[in-house]
Amino acid sequence: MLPKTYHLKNYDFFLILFSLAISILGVVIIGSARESYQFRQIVGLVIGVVFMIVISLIDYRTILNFYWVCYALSIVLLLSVLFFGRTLGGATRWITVAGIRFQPSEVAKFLLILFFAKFIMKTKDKLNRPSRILTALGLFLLPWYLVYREPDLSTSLVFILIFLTMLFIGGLSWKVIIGTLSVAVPVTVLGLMLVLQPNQEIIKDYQQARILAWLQPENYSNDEGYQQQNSIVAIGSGQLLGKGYKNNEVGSVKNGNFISEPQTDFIFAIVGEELGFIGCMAIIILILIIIVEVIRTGWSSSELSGTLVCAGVAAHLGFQTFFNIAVTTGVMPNTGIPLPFVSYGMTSLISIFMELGVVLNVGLLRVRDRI
Amino acid sequence: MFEQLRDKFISIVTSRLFFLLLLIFTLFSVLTLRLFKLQIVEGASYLDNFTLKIEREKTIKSTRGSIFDRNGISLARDTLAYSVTIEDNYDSGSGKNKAINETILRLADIIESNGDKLNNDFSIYLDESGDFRFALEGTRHLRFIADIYGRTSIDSLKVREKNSTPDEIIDYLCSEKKFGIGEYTEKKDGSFDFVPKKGYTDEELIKVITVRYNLSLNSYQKYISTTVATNVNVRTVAEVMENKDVLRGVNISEDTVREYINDPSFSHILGYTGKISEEELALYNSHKNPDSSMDAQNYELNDYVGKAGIEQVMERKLQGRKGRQTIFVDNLGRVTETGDKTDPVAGNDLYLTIDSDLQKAVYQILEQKIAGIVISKIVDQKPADEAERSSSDIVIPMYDVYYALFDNNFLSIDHLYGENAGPDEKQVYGDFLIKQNAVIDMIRNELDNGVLPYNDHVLEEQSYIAYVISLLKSSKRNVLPGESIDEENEVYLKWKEGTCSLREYLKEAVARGWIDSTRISSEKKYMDSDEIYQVLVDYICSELSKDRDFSKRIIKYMIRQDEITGNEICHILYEQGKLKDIGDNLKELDSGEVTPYRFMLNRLKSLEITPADLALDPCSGSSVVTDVRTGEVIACVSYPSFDNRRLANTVDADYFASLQNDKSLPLYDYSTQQKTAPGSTFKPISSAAALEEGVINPGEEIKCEGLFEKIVPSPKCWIYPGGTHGSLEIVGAIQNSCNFFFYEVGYRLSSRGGYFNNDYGLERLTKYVDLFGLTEKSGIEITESEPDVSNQDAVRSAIGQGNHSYTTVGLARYVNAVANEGRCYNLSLLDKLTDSNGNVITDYTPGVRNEINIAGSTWHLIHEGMKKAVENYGAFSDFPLTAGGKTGTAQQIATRPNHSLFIGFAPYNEPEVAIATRIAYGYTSSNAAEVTRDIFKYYFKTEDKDDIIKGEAVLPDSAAISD
Repeated sequence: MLPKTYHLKNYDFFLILFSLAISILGVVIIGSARESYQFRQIVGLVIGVVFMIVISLIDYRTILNFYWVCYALSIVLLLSVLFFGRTLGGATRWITVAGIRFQPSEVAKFLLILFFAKFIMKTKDKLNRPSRILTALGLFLLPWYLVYREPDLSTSLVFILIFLTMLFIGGLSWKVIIGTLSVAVPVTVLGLMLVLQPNQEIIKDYQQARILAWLQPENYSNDEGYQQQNSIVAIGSGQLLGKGYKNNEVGSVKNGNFISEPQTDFIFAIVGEELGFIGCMAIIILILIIIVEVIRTGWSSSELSGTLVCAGVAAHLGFQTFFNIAVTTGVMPNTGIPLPFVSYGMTSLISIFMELGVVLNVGLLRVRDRI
Repeated sequence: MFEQLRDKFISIVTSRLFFLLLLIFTLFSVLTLRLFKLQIVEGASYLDNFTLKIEREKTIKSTRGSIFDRNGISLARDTLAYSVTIEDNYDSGSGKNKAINETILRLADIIESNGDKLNNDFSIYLDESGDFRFALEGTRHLRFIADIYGRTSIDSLKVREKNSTPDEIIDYLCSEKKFGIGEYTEKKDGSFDFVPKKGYTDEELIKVITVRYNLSLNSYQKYISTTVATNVNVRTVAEVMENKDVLRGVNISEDTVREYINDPSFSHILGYTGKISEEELALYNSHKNPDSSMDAQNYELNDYVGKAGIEQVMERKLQGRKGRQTIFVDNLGRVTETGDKTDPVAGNDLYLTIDSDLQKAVYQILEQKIAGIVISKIVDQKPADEAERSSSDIVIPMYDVYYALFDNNFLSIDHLYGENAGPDEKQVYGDFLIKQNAVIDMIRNELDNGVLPYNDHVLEEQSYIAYVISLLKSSKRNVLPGESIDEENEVYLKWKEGTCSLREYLKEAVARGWIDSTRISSEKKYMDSDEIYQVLVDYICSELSKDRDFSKRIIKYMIRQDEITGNEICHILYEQGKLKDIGDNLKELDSGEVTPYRFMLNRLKSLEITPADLALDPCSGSSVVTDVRTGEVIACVSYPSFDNRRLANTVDADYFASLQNDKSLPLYDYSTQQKTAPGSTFKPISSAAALEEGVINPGEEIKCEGLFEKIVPSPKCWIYPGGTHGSLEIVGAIQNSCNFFFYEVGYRLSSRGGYFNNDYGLERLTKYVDLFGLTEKSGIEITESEPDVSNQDAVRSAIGQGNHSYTTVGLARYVNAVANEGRCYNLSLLDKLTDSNGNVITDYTPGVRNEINIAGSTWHLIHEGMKKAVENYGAFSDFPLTAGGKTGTAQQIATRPNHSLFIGFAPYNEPEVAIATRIAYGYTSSNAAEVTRDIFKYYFKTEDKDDIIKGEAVLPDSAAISD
């Protein structure tokens, strides 16, 4: 049934084990944050694992052959948000199909990783030509813009970082990288200064407010910074061991309803408060192990496309985790992004498991030993 | 092998994947460091700060101490009352505003249908004409606006916000993003279409906004519920409880309210309590508290404090100490857990020196006598022109009584055309409109074409024309500001003399730019003088037709000209509900058995209409009764008074406004604040000065010659030119109140080395004024006016004229010192302070200000004179005890009656009580003497209570006696 090249010893049970471990930890924490969401997260986890296993058994190269379909599909999904999307809290990020609500940008992440893996591989030798770079950029900008204008600034940032990582791994020359950086960094700094001017029209007011709230939390204690301040207090007051899972202490920030959306973007505040520094480190280390596994798999891949898929997935998990925790601990402005594996959100969870499915298949088809 | 490994290592380290891993690893290290700092390094302080953030102290009100009279009769106390409260436990979402607003309306309906009132502390109100108006001014107003727009300070208000009109604020608050007060139509998808204010009357809007605004102030401290109505009756409580399932968030809470004895005589002494103002809050909390050995009393914005009288003076003693309850709250301030609790400590109870029974009696004695004086002076005739009156033969024409009913707002002009107007009211109002149109046409004609100088108009027209100028000058309108007028101007001077017309004067005022045209026209464009004058004419005519004071002037002349008849006025009294028809009063009037004149006298006689209602002379009086041996004040009465129960807790704003507009000044304490010349009641002090300074020897006689010609202009004795007193010793001089004798005393006191020295005389006289305590306030704890000791004309000052001016309570201290032969007390209303269990904390005794060390013979002569004086007075002819006393008459202005004063003590041999009484504009001193006599009778129980307090007007019983 399965191709003969599949060897059981190449199947990365380790990766499955750790991703299951952190997802189950996530389910447990959601039980404390908002118990009512726990069951749906379990359902998402089961579906995700099933998808992962099914995908892990399909030759990824076969899938990559349909890379234009992937691209088209991601554009269709993102466009459907534009036309049929449901607005919640000022942003349109969800669509409902057959009664199931899901977030196309999460699926698009998965599809675009696949697309660019193949696309970059095919143009590898000419990648450093300006025409190629511009083509890649153009192909990226369309879906990116659709995400950006949902608006979903944080996801669009993750998109950029995944895309850049894949270009980098695909062999973009250092000359181009350094040249770009020397332009991009000053532009970013200047841009930041510009968008913080009153009455600017570059970013939306609420986005500006969030950046300002991060820079001057004391002036925004009742608005944007309020969420983040409370999250910092929750995490800080958890100290080494935390206040205890599902505790009923008066001094609990969560119990006082000071954390809004504790099951999604600010779930890490619950981890910090209830499980303490130990719990936080557990989450960070588990995700790091998963990322290392993914990168190891990419290393061992015989084909560049496999390496690129793994790099994209690693970038996705790494940067998104960083953004989320950086927001909840006040290192970065409030951008609103879920913590991989842990935050509630079926689309996000299933998409990640689908990505891991592809990574598992890359591992199955590897030629050289992993480091 | 090693090389292989090394190559592999190098290939890994140099690979781009490794670079990615390194980057992610670095980022995660940053997070780890951050978490270490937050949780391990700063964790404990985050925990502490958070605990502080969610910990709240809820205060538990203490019970305010009670106030009792000297016999333990309760005068003021806190009683349990029910309040209706609401809290916002509504689910947020699009239907929230609609649900809350509907609940509030429904609740308001329940409260009002049961006869209770909603608390109305919102700073915008609906005025009589149905316009929204701001209640506050200045900084407090801006503070309110800032709160409305959610600005943290006044400075951060935008100009547009600062200048908001009341209507703009109402619109803003009704908008969907604020309180969403209006009509919602639900759309298919569950969202709402919203039309602000639709479906609400203005009254309903203000009710809903008041509650919503108060709720919003507590939106982040939901452990505080918002009070909708205070002190509601049991029917409201029952109906709210029955409907609790539909009145979401509504609750009944138990609260205390201040309850006062139901008698107006105590209102000035007790004062009343009310919600603390921001000024009081700042004062009490910043105050260097002399009792700071106790815990600092932290007042809060919802506290009730004494606003006047003893309640205010003794605020800190009565207040008690609040209890505290620690609670923990969530993000919206809902209680999640309760912590430590400290119970409140009830305030101290205060006992006054007042004898409440006597206090009530004195008030009634004053009222019935003042009513009697008024009745005795009413004549059935039209008023003579004011200029022709003089102090001695003043009478009260019945027409003035009719007019006084309107003038003092006892009868309402607005009621005449209101919904509930009766047939006579409608008739009178119709006549009034015709007259008003005629008068305004006359004014318009005068303004357009008038050439006749003011003086050549008839009196009635003069009255109207003069009013035009006072209208323009009134501070409310300020169209013709006094400071803009050039007082040297020729036309102005002519106007002052009355030798030019109104038209001429106003034309000049326009031409000279004295008229502030921005106040009469909203037009921005430039206008020349003629245009401004035309606008002014229109303005005047339109304002006059709305101005109620002008309406009163018209009514005054309508009454005089019988265009409004006495009969109509009698009926209007019933139509406006001012009188209840008991017996056949109206029938007798209608059948002609009783004339309107007689009818009105009967109403005054029965006290259905009181002297205070009319505010004619006299309409006020005061009496202070002291215990001669202790200096305690046992009665301190000011007539007229007010109902402090309607000002306490939450102020009845309409009632308060009516008190402020009442010309009898019920809020004014006549016993402690009104000052007049003491008149002849001063003569015992002059006697003491004369004898002690040795200017008169005890047996020395002075011959009264009527006219005291040693000074020019020469003052006369009261008996002159009808006669003279002949030769009198000092006793006889006091007895007969001989002015000549005391002029001589004043003259001799001023003699130094054979020369007349006015200052020397005043100095010597003042020394004795001071000994009797009249140079300072009496010591009584409530607000009192500073006395004025005469500093001019030593001769006239010696008979109590000059510019002496004393309060009744000051005279009471003085007569008390006379009665006990020399002990001048600091008067006091306070008896003792006890804790809530009755243990005495402080026993107050009036301090002795000074001992008056003068010869026993001097005291004897003064007492002898005062005893003989009393024997002379008809008022005391049937009084069974011996007493000492002295009358006094003081003329303030020739066109009004004299003030009537009396000081006295009894029994003569061993005085127990001393009394000072004053009836301002009370015609003759015998009236004050009669009041004092009745108080003595009541105090010594020499006569049956019912014979003293008749419940109806008591006419003066003696003919005017001389003093």
